[in-house]
Order: sequence, then structure tokens, then C-alpha cells
Amino acid sequence: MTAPAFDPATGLLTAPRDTIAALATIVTGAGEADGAAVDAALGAAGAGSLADPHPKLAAALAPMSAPIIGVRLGKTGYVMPGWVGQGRFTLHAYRGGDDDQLVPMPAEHLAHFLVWLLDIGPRPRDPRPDETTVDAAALDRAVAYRLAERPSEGLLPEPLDSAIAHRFRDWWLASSRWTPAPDAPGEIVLEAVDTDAGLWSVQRLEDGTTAIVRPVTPMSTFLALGDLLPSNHLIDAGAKRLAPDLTPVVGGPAAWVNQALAT
Amino acid sequence: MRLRRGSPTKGLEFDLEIPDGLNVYRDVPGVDLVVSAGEERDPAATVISIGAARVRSPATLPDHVRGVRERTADLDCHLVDEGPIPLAGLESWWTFDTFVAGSRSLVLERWMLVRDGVGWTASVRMPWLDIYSLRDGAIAIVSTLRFR
Repeated sequence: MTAPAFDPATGLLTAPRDTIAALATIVTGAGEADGAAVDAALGAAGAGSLADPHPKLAAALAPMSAPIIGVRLGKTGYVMPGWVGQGRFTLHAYRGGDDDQLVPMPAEHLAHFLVWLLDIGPRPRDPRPDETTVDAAALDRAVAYRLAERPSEGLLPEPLDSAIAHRFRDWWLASSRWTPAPDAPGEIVLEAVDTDAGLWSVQRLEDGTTAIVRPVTPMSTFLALGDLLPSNHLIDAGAKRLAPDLTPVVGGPAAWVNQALAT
Repeated sequence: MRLRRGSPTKGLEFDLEIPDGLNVYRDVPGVDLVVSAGEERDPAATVISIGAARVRSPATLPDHVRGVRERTADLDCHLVDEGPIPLAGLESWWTFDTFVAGSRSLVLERWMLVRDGVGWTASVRMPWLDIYSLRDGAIAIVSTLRFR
């Protein structure tokens, strides 16, 4: 663990995972946390304090205190919380080890940031089946095995099975929630398995046991990621902020990974 | 508007069908033609450009693609997708990049091809926020490119 650090030019805060989680708990209004410990870390980083944050940190915290959209990013088996408010986006980015980062940026940078974070780039264009219906638990198990660098052959239909077993790159999920306008949707969830044979989108059916896996291109994936920021007409203009019970606060390991590895 | 652009060197020519109301620039250094919704230098503008690489004529399409990307390396683009797409009756290599300029998030879509030993590049640059409303129209304009 290194000392907390703050970049006054960008507002980027680097601090232990627990410190940023406590900061998020306090700022989002989700509950109580050790404010004195947070203040000590902010002070050590030169970021001010909870009561008097550095202006760049204040800008980073603004979407957390009054989120319009709550974002959850899952990558490599970890889920990270993010917040969009008044043109700004802030993400609690999980990193290797204990030191995480609170990453602020203009909200319109979200899609550009995500293609970098999720490492979305050109993939082979070999023909693949239009869709493959699979047992959701088997898919979870195959992905969890690969995340744990264990073999996964034979769990899924081909060619999906070989792609995940031998050409696996990562699994990711991106979702956003907002207060919907009347008759508008209030959530979008994008889930994908990335392989050297191409990207595959995952649609989980309401029965809870079935998933449909479809090949997607990096371009269509980029366009879909843009939908994480919904058009204004989909958001209830009268809502002051996303309801606290819908606001993401802390992340952590994706529970289904450990469940799948335990079976 | 139907514009016929006579290239200033080597007698190269192309046609491009441009809807009324767009700004057309013919004197941008290094580019044969720029069509812009908004001011060409405004990052918020959607800008279509058509140009030939005459200084270093590439022998092959991969050479041309490599050269184009090297010449725009300072944009620090993130390559999202690429592949072969026909343009103007020729084989072209299409790329789609995102990049950030100042506070704006932009996308850059390019079609690169080689005709008679000369590398041509058609490109569309637009704010990411406009991609859902303007991209189809911009691609429709690029698709009217015809060499004479």
C-alpha cells in the first residue's frame, strides 16, 4: 500500500480501497463510515477534507452526492461503482492490490473511457452463429473458470465453448440506472464475453436459467456503451437525484464468480 | 449540390454529392476537400474530408493505412474497429477511432484506399454526442465518392 495521492490538475484520487469506499458511503448518503479516517487520508493526499475538499475533488464528488445515473462496471470478476451527475462522471476504479482510484471526467468521455478500460478493439470477423442459447449457470461456470485460469472445455456448445476455453480475454458488464420518465425504461445492462474469436453479448432471460449469446462487433459494442448515458427524455426531469436505494455505493468481487468456482 | 473537385496536382479528380447548407472548404493544407457542418476547426463540428497522400505515394494499401495512422498518432486515438469496406468501387480499409480533444470526446472514421498508386483517405470526424444522429448522414455523403 502506498500513501494516498491526489492530482490537483485532474482530481484523480489514489487511496486504499476501504478509504474510497468509506468516502463513497458518506458522500452518497448511503450510511455512516469512518469520516475521521477519510479526512486523514484526504489531508495526507493534499485533497482537503470532507468538509472542505480541494475544488477538483469537490468536482469529483459532485456526481456522487447528487447522482442522476448510477453506473456499475464489472470487469475481470470485480464490480465497480460509478456516478453521473450534471455533466460529470466519477468512477471508483478497482486496481490490483489495495490502492484504488477515484477517477473523475466529463460525462461525455464515458464511452471513450470504457473502450479503453474494457480494452475493446478490432477482433477477427470470422463467421459465428447468430445466437447460441445456453444454460446460464454453465456460462457463469465457464467464465469463472477462465477468470481463475482453470480449464473450461465441454461446458458450452461450440464454437462458443472453444472460444471461451482457448481464446478467452475477459468478461465485463456495464449497467446504468436512472429515474425513468413515465413509460420509459430505467435501466440498461450490457454484458459481454471478450475472446480472441470476437466479442459475444450475453442476454439473460427472465427465467433466470437461460442466456442467449450473440456475436457482436467492437463497433456495435461501442455504440451500445453510449446508451449507458440515456437521452434526456428517458429521465424523469422532476427527480432531484437517483433514489438512494438505487445508487451504487461500493463494489467488490462479483458473487457469481465465487459461487461458480465453488460448484 | 454536386461538386466536382479538380485536384491541384497529378490531375486527380473525384465527385462528391454534398447536401445544401454545409460549409465546403477547398484550401485546407494537405486535404483536397473538406465538408463541414459548423466551422471546420470547431471540435463540435462534424467534418468530412477527402484527401490524397501525394508526398509519399504508397505502393500498397497496408503502407497507406500505416502512414495515415502514423501521421495522426498525436491524436492518441483508441482504435475500436477496422475492416475491409468497398468505397468508390475500390477496396478500402475502414477504421473507427475515438479520441479526446480538450474536453470533447470525438470519433474519427476513415476509409483508406489506393488508386493508381496514390493513397486516398476519406474521413468523418464528429463529436461522440452526435454519433447517433449524424453518423448515417455523414456516411451517406462519403458513399457518394466517385473517382473520374
